[in-house]
Amino acid sequence: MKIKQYSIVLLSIFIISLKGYSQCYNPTSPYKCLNIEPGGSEFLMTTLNNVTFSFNKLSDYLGGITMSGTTQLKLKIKSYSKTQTDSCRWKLVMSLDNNGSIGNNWELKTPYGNGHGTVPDIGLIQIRVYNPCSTPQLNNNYQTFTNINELRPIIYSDLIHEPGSHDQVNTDGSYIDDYCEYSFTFDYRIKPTLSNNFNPGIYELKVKFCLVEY
Amino acid sequence: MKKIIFAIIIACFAVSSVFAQLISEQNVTATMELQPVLQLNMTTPDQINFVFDNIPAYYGGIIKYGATILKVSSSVSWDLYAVGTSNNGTNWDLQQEYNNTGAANGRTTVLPLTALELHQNSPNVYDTTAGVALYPDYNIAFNNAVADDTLPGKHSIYASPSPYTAPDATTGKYIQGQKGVSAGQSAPGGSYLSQGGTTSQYYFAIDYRIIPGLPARFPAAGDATGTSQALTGVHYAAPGTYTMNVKYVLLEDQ
Repeated sequence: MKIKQYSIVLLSIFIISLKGYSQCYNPTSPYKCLNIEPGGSEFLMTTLNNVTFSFNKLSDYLGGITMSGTTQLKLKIKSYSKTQTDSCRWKLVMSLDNNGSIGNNWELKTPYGNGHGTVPDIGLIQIRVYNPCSTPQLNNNYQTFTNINELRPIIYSDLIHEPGSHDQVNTDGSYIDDYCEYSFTFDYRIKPTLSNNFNPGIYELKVKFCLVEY
Repeated sequence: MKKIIFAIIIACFAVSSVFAQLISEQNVTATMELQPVLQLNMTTPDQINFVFDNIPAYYGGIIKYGATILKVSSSVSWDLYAVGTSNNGTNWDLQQEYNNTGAANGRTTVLPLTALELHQNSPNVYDTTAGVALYPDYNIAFNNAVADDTLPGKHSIYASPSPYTAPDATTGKYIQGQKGVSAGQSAPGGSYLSQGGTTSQYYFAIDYRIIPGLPARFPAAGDATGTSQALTGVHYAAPGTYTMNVKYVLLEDQ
């Protein structure tokens, strides 16, 4: 009886551990890529995980602030087997997280002033992704989000794009020997302007980059 | 049997890690600090002199057109007001009295700050809600001295011993905006740089006038409610040099 109980508990834990990877978004196809583990795939961010914009001059509000090359992602994707008829495929997307703040607003950390203005919308931040081979879907174009639940594609093709194609490459390969197609650089821009009448304060928004097998 | 079940469970864990799908996430936290930026540029001299040394100047007054140019830039809703102040916040400061050879009947050095009059080139479009003073801004054009003498306070500067306390809506004057945070009681964020140039809501040319009258009693002096503050009875202004301070205060809507 005790053994039965233990096995049910352990089996439950096993099932839960499989489901626990759904925090990014759910992969949809069978497993052909090696997971992130020693000797397996790698998903590296070699830059700082904080970017700070401080607007304290008129020119900052009118012209905006651009942070170039602030984030860099590097990928090393390995398949289980090189002899498979269809290769390991993956997608790379980005999304935002405002920590549950109302609607599509930035999360307010500290208010300044009297709070009679407006709260900044997530559409205020513009993000541009590019690499030397121009593989991202909207390569080198600033993108904005209209909804907090939106996923913006970086590499997001249903077809197989092998290395060397310079277009949405999404199979196995490595930044070590193919930096051109397996690295991604991100610029950020915020331009508040004066007419938006934003409430002064400190705001926060998380940018999430999700690599998932497809 | 126990060993078999245990082995199966261990095997399940092993299999789960081998067949786990590729999935990973990286995060960047973007922090944005919006500091309130309110910028008031004054590109004109900060000293303005009125010298009354002839009869016409006493009767007709002296006008200084465009003596002060103000340009506003703000990232928040804002109000702008002018306030006359001095050591006691009510009267001009006496620097030097002339020919004071003894107390003369009616001669006084206590002159109201409201003797100084202002006119702004563009209207205050954010003081139209109810509960404002009789003369809530400086938009009314200067009329001739005779006509304006009968309407004290119409152009007079708002005066206060507490210049950094925003004027009350019913007794004070604003160049732009109004006391209160309701809609229509403040100008929106913006800048003269990007909105309209010299005709915009963010650009003001200020004219000054003083009409002493003869005898020098400053008949046009008054507050925003139209209450006269002119010298009365036998009093007249003693000759001398007087100074006052005019502050232009740009502040977030309140």
